[in-house]
Amino acid sequence: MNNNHKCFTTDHQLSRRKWFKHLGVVGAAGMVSPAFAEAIKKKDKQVMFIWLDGGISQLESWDPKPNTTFGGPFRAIPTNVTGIHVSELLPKTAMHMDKMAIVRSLSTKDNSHSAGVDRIQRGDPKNRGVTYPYIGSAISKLMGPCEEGMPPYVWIKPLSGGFISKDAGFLGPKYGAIAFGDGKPPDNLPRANTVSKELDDIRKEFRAKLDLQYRKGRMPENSEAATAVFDMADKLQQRLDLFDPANVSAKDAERYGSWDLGRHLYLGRRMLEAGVRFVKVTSYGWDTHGDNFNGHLSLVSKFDKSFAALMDDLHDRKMLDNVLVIVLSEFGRTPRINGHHGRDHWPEAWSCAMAGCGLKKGLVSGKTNALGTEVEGKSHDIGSMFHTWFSALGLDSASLEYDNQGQPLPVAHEEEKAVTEVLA
Amino acid sequence: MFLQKKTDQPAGKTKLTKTVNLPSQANAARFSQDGRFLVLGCMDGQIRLINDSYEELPPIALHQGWVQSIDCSSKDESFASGDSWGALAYHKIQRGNIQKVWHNPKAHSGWIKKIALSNDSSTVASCATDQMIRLFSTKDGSKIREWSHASSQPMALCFSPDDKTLVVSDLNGKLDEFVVHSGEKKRSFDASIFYKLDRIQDVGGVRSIAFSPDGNLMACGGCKPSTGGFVQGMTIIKIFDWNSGKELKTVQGSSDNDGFVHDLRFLNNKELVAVSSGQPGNGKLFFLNVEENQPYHTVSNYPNCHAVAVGKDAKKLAIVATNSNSSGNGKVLDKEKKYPANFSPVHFLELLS
Amino acid sequence: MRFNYFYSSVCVVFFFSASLNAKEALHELIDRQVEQKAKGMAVAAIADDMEFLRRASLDFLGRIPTLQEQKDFLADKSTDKRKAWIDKALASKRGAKRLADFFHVHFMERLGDNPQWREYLENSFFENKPWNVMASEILRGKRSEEQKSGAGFFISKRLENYGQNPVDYSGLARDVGRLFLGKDLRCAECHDHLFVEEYKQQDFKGLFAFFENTYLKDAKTMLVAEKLTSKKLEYASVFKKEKKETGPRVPGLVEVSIPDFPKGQEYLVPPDPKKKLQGVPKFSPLEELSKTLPDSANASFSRNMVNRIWFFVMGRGLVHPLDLHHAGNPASHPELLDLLTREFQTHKYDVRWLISELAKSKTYQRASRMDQKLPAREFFVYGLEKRLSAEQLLASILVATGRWNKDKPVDETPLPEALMQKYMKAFANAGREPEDEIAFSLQAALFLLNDSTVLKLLEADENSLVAQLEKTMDERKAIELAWLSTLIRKPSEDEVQSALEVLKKAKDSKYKVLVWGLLASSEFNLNH
Repeated sequence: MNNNHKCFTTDHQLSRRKWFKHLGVVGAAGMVSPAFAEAIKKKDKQVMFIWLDGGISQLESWDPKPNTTFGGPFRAIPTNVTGIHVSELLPKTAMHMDKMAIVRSLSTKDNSHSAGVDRIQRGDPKNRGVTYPYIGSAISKLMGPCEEGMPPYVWIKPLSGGFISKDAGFLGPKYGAIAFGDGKPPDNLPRANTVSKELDDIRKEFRAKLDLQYRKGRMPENSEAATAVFDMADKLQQRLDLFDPANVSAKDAERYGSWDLGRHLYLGRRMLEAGVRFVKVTSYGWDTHGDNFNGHLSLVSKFDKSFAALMDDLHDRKMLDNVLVIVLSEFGRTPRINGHHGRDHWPEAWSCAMAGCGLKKGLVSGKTNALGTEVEGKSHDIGSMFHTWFSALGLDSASLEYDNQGQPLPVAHEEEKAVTEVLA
Repeated sequence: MFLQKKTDQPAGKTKLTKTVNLPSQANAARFSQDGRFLVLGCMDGQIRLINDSYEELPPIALHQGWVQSIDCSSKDESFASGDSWGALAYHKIQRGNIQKVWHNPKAHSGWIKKIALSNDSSTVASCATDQMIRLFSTKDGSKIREWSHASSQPMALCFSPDDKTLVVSDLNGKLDEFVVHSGEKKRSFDASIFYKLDRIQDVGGVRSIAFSPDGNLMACGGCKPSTGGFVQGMTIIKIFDWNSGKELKTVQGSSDNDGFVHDLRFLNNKELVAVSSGQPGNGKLFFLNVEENQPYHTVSNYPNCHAVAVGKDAKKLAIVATNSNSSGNGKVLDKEKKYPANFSPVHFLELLS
Repeated sequence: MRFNYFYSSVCVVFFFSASLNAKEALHELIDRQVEQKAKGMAVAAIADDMEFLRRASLDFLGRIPTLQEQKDFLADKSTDKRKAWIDKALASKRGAKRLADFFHVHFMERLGDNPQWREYLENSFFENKPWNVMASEILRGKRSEEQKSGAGFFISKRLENYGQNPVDYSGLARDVGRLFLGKDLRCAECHDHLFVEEYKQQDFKGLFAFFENTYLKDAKTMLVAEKLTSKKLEYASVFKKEKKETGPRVPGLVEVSIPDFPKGQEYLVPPDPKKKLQGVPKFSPLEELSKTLPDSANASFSRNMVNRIWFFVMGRGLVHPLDLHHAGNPASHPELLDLLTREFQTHKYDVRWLISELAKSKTYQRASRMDQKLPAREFFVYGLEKRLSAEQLLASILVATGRWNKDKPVDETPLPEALMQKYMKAFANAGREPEDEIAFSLQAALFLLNDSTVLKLLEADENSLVAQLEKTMDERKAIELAWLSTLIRKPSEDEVQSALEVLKKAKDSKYKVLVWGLLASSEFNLNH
């Protein structure tokens, strides 16, 4: 079943979703059905957030300035959209430009990683004395799970995994990320071999019954939250296939690339299909303060292959109609080429590449000057991007508010606005 | 830095005669055969020449991207150049004038990492990120031969002293000897210390190769990378006995900050000069006797050198360094409140013996 | 005692103090105020003995009660048995350990652990050391080897490098502001707080000035030292660039003046550059902090602790969130908080007394469920749900499954270290995250579902609960025993029926399945 995009829910599941304050779209329960075409249109929105940690160079990717002082050794190549060029390190991605939207006018503030990663992923709303959630936690809160029982926010990353509550900020740990370290399932996900499937079902049903009983006469939130995580455990357990490398065909392995970013984008696509609302895939090691050009030759070439394979698949499966794809770092890299032929941190004028739902296709918004040293015309801080993403997902970010224990908080910086040029 | 006690003033061995600040950063430098001209390949796509009165000749604006590699003929006053957009060119200096002999804008489809002239100056060899090795006639630029180097991305190349073979080094830390007339691989030399896969970044590569004048020794330089990103790494030079193919020694620096040996040249059959560049403000000029395990002279006040050229009879040197304060996060402005580009000071040094 | 002019409700304070003089116990006054605010609302009934015993055991002993304790408590027919139980529990070694556990999690926020620190806390609570004395010892930091106390851990741990990051001095200043004064001054670090009017940048900087010259001499021994402080801290707002300066100052109090010693006389022990010794300055900002912050002149200090103790006992702060004491976030019961603060000071910061008064109130002892629609939590008219810490949960699971050395009193079996680590991973928050909210996580669910150590507790060996159930011939009796051992109550008839069904379906593994379900239920995993 290739078209098994799990953004459906059945009638009877709806009531249990109240905890998430989420009204899902009713469709066939993950099956391809005659209603498929109809369901596609109504399907819930999802996000694939690709984080190139350390900072990809805009000049060696989305905003090349060939043959200029700071342009570096590489050429710009035409894409499949007339007039739009990207770095020659992105030949495969260039052939997906007709599905993409690039904002070349980001101008953010923090040039240190520790501040940058947090500020960019939290969207830097005006300082309210609270820690704002990362975009993944924000979406998880505002939109709830996509497929009943599937975690709303997963993070596929190299190294260790676990349960990353810090992303959630004031929303509280339940909106944190479930991190699949090195693409592996979390501890204790596979059913213990001492418990048969039959007994497992009996004990879980009994537990759920006890919670129903417990809820009577009490505030329901906490025991409902407990039930929700047990449901999630159940659901994920049924999807252990997602983590099994044996299920990756040789062809897919080749197309995406054997490196972790390739494997993780592939797993990310499968997670979207399984009904995860927000998938973050992180690639580390982009902080090319030295040997930037050989570094980007290696890094961007690998990214290009893996990303293009993802775009191929999302396109072929018609998933770009409901999946918002975002490629971002904490900042770009300095035009100035230092003595180690590296580029340093550069929040002043850089780019964000996007594709998918809610966005126009095949366009570039904003521009930098000839040398790439500043944005020409209107620049956008990260708050604008949050508004843009929320809008693309159908959320009215100008009026939506979080309720932080009675304190109303805007979901994105109230003095900034979406980059409307890229919104469909 | 090497363990050898360092000399911050180049006392004794070298004397600074002149510094010429180029308007751009430079990647490569070689002296013309007669030693009168220093030919430089720059990041602004220009070839620049400085004559023996330290005057800059009008630059040659033929290339695109970066002029990555320069080699000068040892027979006459001609030189070859290769750029990051795949173009090769050959020029002759006649009575102080530069004449283009030929220009091949499509010599490669990728970034030409290194070019080398044969000792008889009949052939220019080039390697690029398109993973092709190509040989062209210096006479008319016609392609003589090509073969692919699919196993890894080539980084540097050099003809063997008898011109019969060509050594190509690559990113993954291997040197392969190819027969010039057939493209057939003859021998391989292990230099895997020059490579590291850090996360998804291929880091390192053998960056420079040189032969001793008598043809007995082959030296290659680069670094032992410890990280991607910043690209920390200890400076490394490996020396091989060319006839037996045996590795004679690996000379290793002691600081992760010094980075790559981007260029090295033999001064005579026993001594070589090399430059390294690593973290901004780091990197050295140093002199090594091949029989010793550490450099006998190190100069650390010309950081971030990317090229060293040795003049006729090894009496002078030119090194291509980088201005100070070349790095910094964010928009670092200069005194005029402008966002400056970096540049390369070219230091001319007299070699004292 | 200095008159407290920070509060707007001075008269009310006097009124209730007067009432106190009329021998009305504090817990009665608490109930009066809570009931007054909830006038016209339905309130929950007083909890029955088993509900009380479970709640109080978890709160004050850190575990659920054993079967024997349940029997004993039910058998006790005296009218003041709850009060007696509370006083006994709070005065016990185990009671002190529970307070130490809570205090550790609450003040160290899973940053790290240290046996001397734990010992310090346990001993202090066992001796019922006044809170101002404890706070003073903690804030002073450990400055010499002779000081045996582990109190220095609070400061020393925060002076360690965090990963590759430099020492987070701002974080230390912020934590002291939050945890000792109830004021999260984070946003006032770079400018006056934009949202909380009375949080000023000068408050943050004044607090910061106590720490800017401190440094960790040795993480292992917790030794902290200070460099010479000879001038004020300069700063400027990121908005208005004008230069300002401050010496060390506790928010709301006067600045500590920095003494002007003649050159060469600044040190008790002069620095020795040859031996690379820093020297010991005569003027110690930490010493000043430890004297001025925990003082009756500093109303925030008492108020904060009272609010945290209220949170500990009742499950929610009167001021909530706990770190945001300011005019825009008033207490749910302002007069009550004022009263408690004043009484806490009058009783010389007696933590045990304050806890016992709170626990003896009807407010504490109300049932956690109501037939009527539940009012908002901040009315405190029913027993609020509380999170169980990893420590409480492990201890309770061991008690429920009969896994302790039955030859000794239950509290003399220490928690197995390896298990504790696992439970921490599954149930504790990550470092630097307060555990002041109930949070079920997927890792906790997966841990309960499949971790081998959990499943092992369900084996029918020795005196385990499952072994006992299997020995019980009558299934109904077994079910009742399972409920009493885990949920500390008898099952309802409906529950017996559904349990019987489970036993039938699960066949040979019936009691394992039954006990697992009970242990994994919200009823077991929460205090309520």
